[in-house]
Amino acid sequence: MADAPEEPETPASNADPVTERALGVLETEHADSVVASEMTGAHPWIQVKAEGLADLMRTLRDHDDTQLDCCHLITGVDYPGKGKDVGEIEVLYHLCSYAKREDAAYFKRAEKNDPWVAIKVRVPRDAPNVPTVMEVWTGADWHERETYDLVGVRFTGRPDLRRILLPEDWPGHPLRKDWETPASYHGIPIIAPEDL
Amino acid sequence: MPDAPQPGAAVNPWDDDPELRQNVILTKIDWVKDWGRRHALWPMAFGLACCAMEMMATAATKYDLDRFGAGVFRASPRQSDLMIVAGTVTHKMAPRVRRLWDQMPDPKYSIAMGACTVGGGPYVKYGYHVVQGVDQVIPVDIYLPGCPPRPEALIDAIRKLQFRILERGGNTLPEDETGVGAA
Amino acid sequence: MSDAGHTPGGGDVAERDVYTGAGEPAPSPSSVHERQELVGRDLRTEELVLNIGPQHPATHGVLRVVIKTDGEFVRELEPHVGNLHRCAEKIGESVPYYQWLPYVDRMDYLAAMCNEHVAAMAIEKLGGVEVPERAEYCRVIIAEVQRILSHLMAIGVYGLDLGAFTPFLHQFRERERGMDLLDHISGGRLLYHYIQIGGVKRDFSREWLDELDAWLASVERRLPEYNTLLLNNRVFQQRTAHIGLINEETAKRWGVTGPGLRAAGVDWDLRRDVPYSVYDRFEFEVPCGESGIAGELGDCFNRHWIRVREVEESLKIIRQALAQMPEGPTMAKMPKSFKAPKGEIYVRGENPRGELGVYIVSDGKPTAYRIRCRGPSFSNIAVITEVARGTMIADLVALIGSQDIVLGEVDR
Repeated sequence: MADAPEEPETPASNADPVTERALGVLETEHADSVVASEMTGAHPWIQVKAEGLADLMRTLRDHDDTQLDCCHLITGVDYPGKGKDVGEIEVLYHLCSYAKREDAAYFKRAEKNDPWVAIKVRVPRDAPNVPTVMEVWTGADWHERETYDLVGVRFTGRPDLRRILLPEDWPGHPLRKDWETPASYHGIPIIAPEDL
Repeated sequence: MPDAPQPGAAVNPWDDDPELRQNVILTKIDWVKDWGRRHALWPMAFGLACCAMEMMATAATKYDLDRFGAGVFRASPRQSDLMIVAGTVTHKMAPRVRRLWDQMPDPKYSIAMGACTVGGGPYVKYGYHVVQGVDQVIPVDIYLPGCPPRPEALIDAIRKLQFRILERGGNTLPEDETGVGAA
Repeated sequence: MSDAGHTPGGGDVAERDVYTGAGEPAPSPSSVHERQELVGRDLRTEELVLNIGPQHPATHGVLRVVIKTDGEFVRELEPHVGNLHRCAEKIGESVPYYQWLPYVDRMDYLAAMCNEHVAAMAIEKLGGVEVPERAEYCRVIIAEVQRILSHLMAIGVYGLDLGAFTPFLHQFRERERGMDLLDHISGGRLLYHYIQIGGVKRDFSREWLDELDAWLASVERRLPEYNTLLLNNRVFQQRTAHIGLINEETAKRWGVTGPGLRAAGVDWDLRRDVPYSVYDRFEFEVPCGESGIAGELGDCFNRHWIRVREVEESLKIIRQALAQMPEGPTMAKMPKSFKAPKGEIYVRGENPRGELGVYIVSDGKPTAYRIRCRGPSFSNIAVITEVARGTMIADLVALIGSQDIVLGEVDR
């Protein structure tokens, strides 16, 4: 973008310019959605609330400062709690921008030079409901289905949330940390890793 | 020419006509059938995973499986008599493998190509979705280890299968011997 | 699936534009009907559910596609994947980093070296491992050799999909020699585990480099031959030009990467735009879709043509890397049991099929806490749910073939 603001060079700070810019957009447009953020290090991220996620993502896609027009990857990570704490599931969106290719600020990063933005959402493990972003990026469709299939995140507001990789009647979500290998599936025995 | 037969003696052309003895082969129909089968295996083009690439390489230019009479890859199970299970069989795929096997006309043979089909291969321990050996789904004649096996190994497996067909005839491994349940 | 009835008007390419509506926003069933009116008003058709795969030569493995047809037209389509789900992510959580790399090979088994390269980069970045410079050059050279092999396969098999058997046999001549090269350096023909955390397994020998030179020359010499057989073949052009359009907007929306994205006119290649390893030291072009020989932006023909041109660019990169290659060790000093510090990382790289992304969460143990891989084919095949609507069944085969998917990577 020709009218993109010049990012001042600050060699002292290791902050990631792309994530910083996305955070700036979010703080002006969705100020109460941002929960936490990490600007330095190899993997900067912004954590946001699950409510209104689709609107927030649409802002990130359409805003002139970010223009994140590609949803690269959706990941679910299971963090089981200890004792009474049920734990959380983190859903991570890696977004990137083709439109910003000419933008020099995108290619000046401290630790890495790969201009993606990571948006995190954390939801309780017993009610892992995350609004869908399918209408923002259609390609999120299959990624969401896979995250549901393997980690068990329920994406709300979208049609057709079915398993994609595993068979329909597969027990549980294998990438949950407390998932146990079934003894057999349709009469074919599965030897558990402990017994091998 | 042999002498004229003595009057009253039994006529035995087998003993008396050496030319006949040179032109007749005594054998069993079954042996001839197996001999023919052995040299005209029609494998099914059934690529599941990585090993399928090596199966293609075996059939292609350099290794030329046609030299061994097994290069006519058919796309339909109904036209083929050899199933080369080339690649990892998963629990989602297992019923389909079984169904394809059932669709093949008798006599039929199978080669478990690659470590995954032999016993789960590298996925045996943590690969929850991988069937730990295709012999739990279909009967297997030849086990071919390797990840993936080289084309030379696949050619060797097919040669071994050809010898087995001649030795045992028909279906080399009747299904009731293997104790395989339906998938 | 014959070609008969493919050009109902018996017309040429220009006339067929009427029938292919793919690439526009998904046509509603009614517009399919409208188009059908052009075929013939007297022809009555009824809906038929057709199941292609998982055992079908045109699906490149174990893809299953359920299509609802209306005569010769695809009205609705749903790909079913997962028949090759081999739990690479779960295994990543269960085995040490060193042991996980061979599983990465098996995800995209036609581009194992490129996979290893990206995965090793991710783990090295996470663990703060410095890779010797010579090893980086070895990696780039070997990854580009792999890219040529993968594209040769894609070119040959695409011909096979469209009914031309000869190019397949021809490309296997070069491919076998290339596989021998990788065999000599790593010990495996298809899956290598040559690129390891901290460097590469062994250095190139003088003899190997001579072999490589000879092979590069033969690929360069033979490429025009493939183009005569396929690219410039009028039948091939008619089967692929203006077919299976994935325009820029659709490609970005679905996350299509690699040749599919570039064919749509997006000038984007991670090797040039976000250079990783030592790719920033080489001069090469990024081929983009154009309507030069035949076809238009984003059609099957352009995707094929981009692969052909990428082979040429890879040759350039390999030659430059060979000339620049410094002396030195090819393996960093690595501890016997490698532990990555706490943290997370996301690294992506340009594979022959698109962008492979590897996301790793480490909690300081020898095994990862969570590993997630983005297989480019996963998004590249998802897009056909939209673009295949309204095409003809025979064109669906051309479309799936031009996406050049590897199911091991779709399902991981």
